[in-house]
Amino acid sequence: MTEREREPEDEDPPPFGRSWLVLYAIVLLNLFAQILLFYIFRKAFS
Amino acid sequence: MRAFDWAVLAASLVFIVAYGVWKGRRNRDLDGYILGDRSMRWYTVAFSIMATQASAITFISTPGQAYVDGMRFVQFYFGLPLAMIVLSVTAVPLFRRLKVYTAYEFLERRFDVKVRTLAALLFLIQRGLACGLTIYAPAVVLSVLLGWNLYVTNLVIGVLVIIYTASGGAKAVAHTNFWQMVIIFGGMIVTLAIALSLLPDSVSFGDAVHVAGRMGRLNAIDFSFDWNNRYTFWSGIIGGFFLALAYFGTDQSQVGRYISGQSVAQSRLGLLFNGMVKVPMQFVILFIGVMVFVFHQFHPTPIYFNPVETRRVEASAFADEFHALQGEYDLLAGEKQARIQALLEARRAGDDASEAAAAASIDEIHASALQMREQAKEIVRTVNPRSDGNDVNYIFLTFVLRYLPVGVVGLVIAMIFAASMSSTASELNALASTTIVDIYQRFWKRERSDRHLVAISKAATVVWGGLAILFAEYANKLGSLVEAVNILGSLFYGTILGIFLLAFYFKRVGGTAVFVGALVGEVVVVVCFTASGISFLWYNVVGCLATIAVALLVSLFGGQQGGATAYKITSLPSTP
Repeated sequence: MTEREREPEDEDPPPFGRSWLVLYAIVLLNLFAQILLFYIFRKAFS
Repeated sequence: MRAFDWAVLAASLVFIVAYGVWKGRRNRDLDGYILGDRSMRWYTVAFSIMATQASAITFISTPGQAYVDGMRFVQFYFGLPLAMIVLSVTAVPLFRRLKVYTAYEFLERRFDVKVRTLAALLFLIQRGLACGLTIYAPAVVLSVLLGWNLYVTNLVIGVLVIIYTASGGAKAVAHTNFWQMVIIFGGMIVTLAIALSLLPDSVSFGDAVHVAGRMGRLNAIDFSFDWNNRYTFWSGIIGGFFLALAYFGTDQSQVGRYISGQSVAQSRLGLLFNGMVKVPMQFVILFIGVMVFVFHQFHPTPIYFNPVETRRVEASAFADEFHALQGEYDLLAGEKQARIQALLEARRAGDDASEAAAAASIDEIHASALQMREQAKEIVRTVNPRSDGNDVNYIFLTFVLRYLPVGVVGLVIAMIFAASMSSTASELNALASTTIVDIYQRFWKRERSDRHLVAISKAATVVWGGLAILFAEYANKLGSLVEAVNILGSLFYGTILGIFLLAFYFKRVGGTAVFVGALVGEVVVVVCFTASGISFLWYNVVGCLATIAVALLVSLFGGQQGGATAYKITSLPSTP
C-alpha cells in the first residue's frame, strides 16, 4: 500500500470524542459489556 | 382486527407513502436519485441501515424462536459491531473518495470489468430473489392469521413500496426508513410493556425472568465450540463478523445507505450507531418472545399455532386424535402451572430443596409437552405433506391477536408492514442502482443526460418491484425452494466478500486471479452446503478464505499483477 494522499474529509474528527479511535474503542467496550451482561443474566437466572 | 386497529394501520401506511413521495420530490440527477445527494445526517443513515436489515420476518419469527429455543440467536449479531468498525476504517472513506454510486463500480477501478460484472450479477440474482421473499414472508403469515387474501397482501405491500421508492429514490428510502424504525421501536416497547402487564398478579417481573431462566430460555451466551451448532459465541463472533462484513460491505442495499451520508464522519457515525444498538435491539425482540413464553405458562396455549394447518387437520381423519392430544396438552399445562407456582413459592421462602424439586418436575412435564407438540406437528405433516410442520412464525402474532388491546394490534401490524416495506424499499433502490450504473450505463449508454438517467432509474425500480411482487405471488408454490432461496445469501456472501477483501488489502492481485478465485471459492461453498453439516454461518468464512487463497495462488503462479487499466488506484485508506 503506497502512501495515501489524505483527503481533508477523511481527517475530520468525530463530532464527539477526540478521535475515531476513541469511538471505535467505545463500540468495542459496549459489545464487551453487553456480552458480560448477557452472561451474568444467564448465570443469575438459570 | 377491529376498526381502530385498521385506522392505526392505515394512518401509518398513508403517512409513510406520502412522506416518502414528498421527501423525494426533487431528484435532478443520479447523485440525487441513487445517493440522496449524499446529504444524509448520521441518525438518518443509522436508522436507514437498521430498517434495511430488520425485515418483517425478524419481528414475526424472532420472538417465536425465543419462545421455542431461547435467546441464543442474539449471538448471531456479536460480530456486527466489529464489522462496523472495519467498514468505518476501510470502506467508507474509500467509497466516498472514489465517488462511486455502487460498491461494484469500485471493483472495475481496482480490477477489471469482468470482476465488477460478476459481483454485480451475483448481487442482482441473490437480492432480486430475496426481495420477493421480503414481501412474501410476512404476507403469508398475515394472510394465515388474519384471513387476508395472500395475493392481495403481496400486491398491497409491493405497490405501496414501489410508489414512494420509484418516485423518490434514495431520499424517500432513507427518510421513510427513519420513521419506519420509529414505528418499529415504538411497537416493540409497547408490546413488551403489555406482555409484562398481562402476567398474573402473583407473578412479578423477577419471577417471570426466574421462570424463563429455569426453563432454559435465557441461554443468551453459549461458549461451547461446535461446528454443527448454529448459534454459539464463536459462530457469532467469527462467522457473524464475516457475514456482517459481507452484507454491509458488499451488498448495495446497505452500501447505498451509508455512502449517502453527508460526509465521512456522518457515514461512520451511522455505522457505529448501528454497531452499538443492534445487539441490544435483538436482545429486546428475543426477550419479548421469552415473556410470551412465560405468559403462556399461565394461560391456555394451542398445541399448534398455525390456524390454517390446524383447521386442515380438524377437517381430516386425524381430528379426534388431534383433539385428544390438545386435551392431554392442556392437562399437562395445568400440572406445569401448579409446579411453577410451587417453584416461585419455594424461591420466595428460600427453600432451595423444594425449589430444585419443583424445577426438576417442571423439566419433566415440559419435556412431555414438547413430545406432544412433535406428535401434533407429525399429524400436520401427514395431513399436508407440503407443510414442514414448523409453526414458529405464528407464535408471536397469535399472542398479539388474542391478547393485545385494540389499537396496539394495529400498531404491531403497522410495525410488521414498516419492517417489510423498509427492507423492500432499500432493496429496490439498490437493484435499480446496480442495474443502471453497473449494467446499463456501463455497457450501453455511458453518456446520457441526468434527466434520462433518473427516468430510466425510476423505470428500473418499477420493473424490479414488479418482479419482486411476481416472485412473491409465485413463492407460495415453491415449497422447499423458498428455504433454498433463504440461504442464498450465505452461499454467495463469502465469495463476494473475498473479492472485496482482495480489492482492499491485496494490491498485487489482478482481475483474472480474483475472477478464478471467486469461481473456485463458490464451488467450495456449494460443496460445504451439499456435503457437510457445517452451520451456514461458517459458509461466509469458508467462501471468503477460499476465494482469497485461490486468487493469491493464481496470482503467484500466473504472474499477473496490478489493477484495472482505466482507473488505477494508487492508494487505499489507512487507519485514521
